[in-house]
Amino acid sequence: MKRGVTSSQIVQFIIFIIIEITVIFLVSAITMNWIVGFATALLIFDIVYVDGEKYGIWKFVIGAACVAAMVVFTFGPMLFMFIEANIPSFMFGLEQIIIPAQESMKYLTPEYYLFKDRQTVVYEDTTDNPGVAPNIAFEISLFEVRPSSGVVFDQIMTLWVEVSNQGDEDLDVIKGFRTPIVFGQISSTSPCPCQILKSGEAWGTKAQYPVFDDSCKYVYEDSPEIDALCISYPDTCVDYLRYWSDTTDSYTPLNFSSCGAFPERTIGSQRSHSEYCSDVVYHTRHTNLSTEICQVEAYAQADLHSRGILSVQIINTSYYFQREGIVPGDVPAISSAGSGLTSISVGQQPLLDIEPTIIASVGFENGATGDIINFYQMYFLIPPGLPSCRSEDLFSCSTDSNSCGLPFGSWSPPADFVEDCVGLVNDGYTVCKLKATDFDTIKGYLLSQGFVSVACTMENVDTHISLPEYYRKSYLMRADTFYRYEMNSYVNIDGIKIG
Amino acid sequence: MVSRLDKYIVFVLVFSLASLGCVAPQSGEETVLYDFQGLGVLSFGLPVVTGLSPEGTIQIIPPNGDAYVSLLIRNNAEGDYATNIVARLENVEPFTIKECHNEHYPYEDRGDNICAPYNEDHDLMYSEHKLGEMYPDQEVEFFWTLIAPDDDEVANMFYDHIVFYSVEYDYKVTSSQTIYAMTQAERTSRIAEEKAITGSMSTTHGEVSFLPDFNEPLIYSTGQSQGIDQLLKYKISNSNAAGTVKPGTKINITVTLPAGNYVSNSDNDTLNSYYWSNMLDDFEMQTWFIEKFLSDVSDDDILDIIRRTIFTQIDSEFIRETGSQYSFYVPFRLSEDITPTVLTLPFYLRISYRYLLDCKNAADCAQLRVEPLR
Repeated sequence: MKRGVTSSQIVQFIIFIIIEITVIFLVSAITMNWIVGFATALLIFDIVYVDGEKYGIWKFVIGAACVAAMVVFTFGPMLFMFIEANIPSFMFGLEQIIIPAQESMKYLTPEYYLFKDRQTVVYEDTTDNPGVAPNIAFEISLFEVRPSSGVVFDQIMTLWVEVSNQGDEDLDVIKGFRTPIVFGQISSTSPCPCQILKSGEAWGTKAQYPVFDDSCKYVYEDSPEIDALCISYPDTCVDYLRYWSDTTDSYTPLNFSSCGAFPERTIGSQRSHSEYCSDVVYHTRHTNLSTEICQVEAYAQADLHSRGILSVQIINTSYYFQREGIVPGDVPAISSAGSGLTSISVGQQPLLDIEPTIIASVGFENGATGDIINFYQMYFLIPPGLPSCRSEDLFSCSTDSNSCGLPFGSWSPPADFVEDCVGLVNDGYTVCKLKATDFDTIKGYLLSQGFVSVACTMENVDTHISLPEYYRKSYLMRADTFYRYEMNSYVNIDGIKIG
Repeated sequence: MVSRLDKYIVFVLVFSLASLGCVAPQSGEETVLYDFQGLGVLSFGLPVVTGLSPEGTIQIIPPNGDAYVSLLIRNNAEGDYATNIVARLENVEPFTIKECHNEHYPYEDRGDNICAPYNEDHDLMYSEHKLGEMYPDQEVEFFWTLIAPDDDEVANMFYDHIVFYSVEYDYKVTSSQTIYAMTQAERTSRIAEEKAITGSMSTTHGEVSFLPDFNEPLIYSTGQSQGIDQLLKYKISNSNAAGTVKPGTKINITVTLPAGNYVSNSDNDTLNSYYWSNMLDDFEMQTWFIEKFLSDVSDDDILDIIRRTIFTQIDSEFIRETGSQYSFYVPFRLSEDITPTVLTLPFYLRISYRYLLDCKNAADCAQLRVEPLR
């Protein structure tokens, strides 16, 4: 029999579908089983709609009652748990539903909800060691003679040097070529020297070569074989002299044109830059020589900035002695990787809050294979809460942001450091740098020895670091060193006479 | 067409399945504390959010970025109420703390600037949160948001930092001990009859524990004309390696002697020689004792209990080492003319202390790394 569908039946059906979907989710959540959820919904559908004409509205009432019972069954325990304020988690499936309720029981600040959104971004698995940044270093990654390091006299060569910036920051680098200095004493184990001449210069005129006789005494001769002797028997005598004068016999063993120093170039992080000198000619020193070796050096120089930080932990004395098992230990400073290493040390930590003094030593050392060829300044930044260095120390301290500016000499620190330093001083840091009166002494020692360490004694006379209401506190010290560094690389060029 | 009976069967079956799902064992780890713990720290460091648990143990943040630290503590179900709980982050600098969207130095006093739901934080430092009371079996999570130091402070380098925690709270351990006292003849008889000659002791769980160190039963003679001073030796120790009694505080020990005619307090000279005092003579201690232990005792009984109670205080440093024991003697007097040949004497021993839980080792603490952006 055909019959019409009323609007109320359509509304009932829509409501019913919504209820069915709710039932599917609720039951599935409770039982952790989607099949059970769908089965329950199917059962309710059956109760409500099958044989509907026989039972009329009562079928719908029964179905709705079933759903209501299920809702009570679901939310009843939650309500109970809220009342008891002790959420038992005996309902496995239900646990997923009540998570928001549990969180409301925690003592959470508004930031917690921001954290939840960011967690996947914030955390990383760090099983490997990423190293210590920033890395501030460079090296001569390539130095070669083209076409070959074995050349014929008067042949034109090309010297090729490549400098790579291994650090994380841009570097301004000067490159160039040179030969070891000829004048004066040279080691008997060194190869015979030559000299790089700038454009227009010429090799000095040789008057006499000093040579050794059988008893190793100097005999001055004007003989071209002396060069050959030098090359062939370098270990015969301890050392020997070579004089070059401007009288006669001018010739040029190796002639460069404007290759002594190239213009300064900025090399980006993890990039390299090459320079070459293409008009190099090997002139022998004497026409009678058949072979000769000339050592050529490539160099690269840059002003570098080394940084170091150290976290100094202070501990409450009574807590330290009451709480067993706190073993003092050395805490390494974190230093920027690179040629020069700046370090800070206060000895073993934690320090007791009753210590009368904290002695911090700020050190700088050559940590690579090149040379520190100039030293500009060392800064030591003391965080707020700690006293500054004693006046007797080699550091001069100030809370004036102007102290972050020019060091001694014409060189000035880079703008980013000055900006950092001023910012820190405005936050209560004290900036200390080497005193003018002692600077030259420290610089001389550093250049000759390759390292230097300067102490800062902070007297805790005013109980700056007492910890009355808590047990541990940290101070983050920072040190910065500015210096000029040079890397070198050497190549021996074998000159051969043909014909 | 499904019959009406079948419908009911299916309906019951579905609800049975639903119920089975409801009581299935949970996947989470059960949090049970040991008997030597009052409060226990269940987790510290990275907050754990269901389904979003981080994989690493080091929290990496950029300079000026937010770091999150949570501390989840639990009170032992077989312990007592913990009160005046203060959870604190230690060694926070150079990080600062963000609370209700404002940045603060960790050791700055809050004054009245509290941030809901921490409604008991008045006059605490921003590194601290306070909770008035935790009942047994309760778990509470505290939460802090830290702000990493900026580029300048860390010199634009990686910087590893460890944040410690400390939790201070008042806790108490109550012990009820039944001690047998008898004549020598009764003792001999009981041994022959294999009857019990030693009593029993039950103690609530906590960090500081009692250990009786005397022989039972106590022996006396009937019909003697003078009372007998007795001494019970006990040892107390800090059994929890995860903490210590707060440095600089006192451990209060009270002993309530048995009621009745046969036991009485020793005279003051004897008590003082063993560093004890009568509770009845110290009004301040009475107030504290009533508030701490007798809140649910009727007024009629309080005076009687106080009259029978003696107290002493020892410095926290005496049991600073885990497992180290401090011995003390409890004097009391058995009266003259004891007629029974055997007495059962119930003693109540109560210890109250302020305890400090903390993390000593870096592995147990929150590890943060400031990693500048490149």
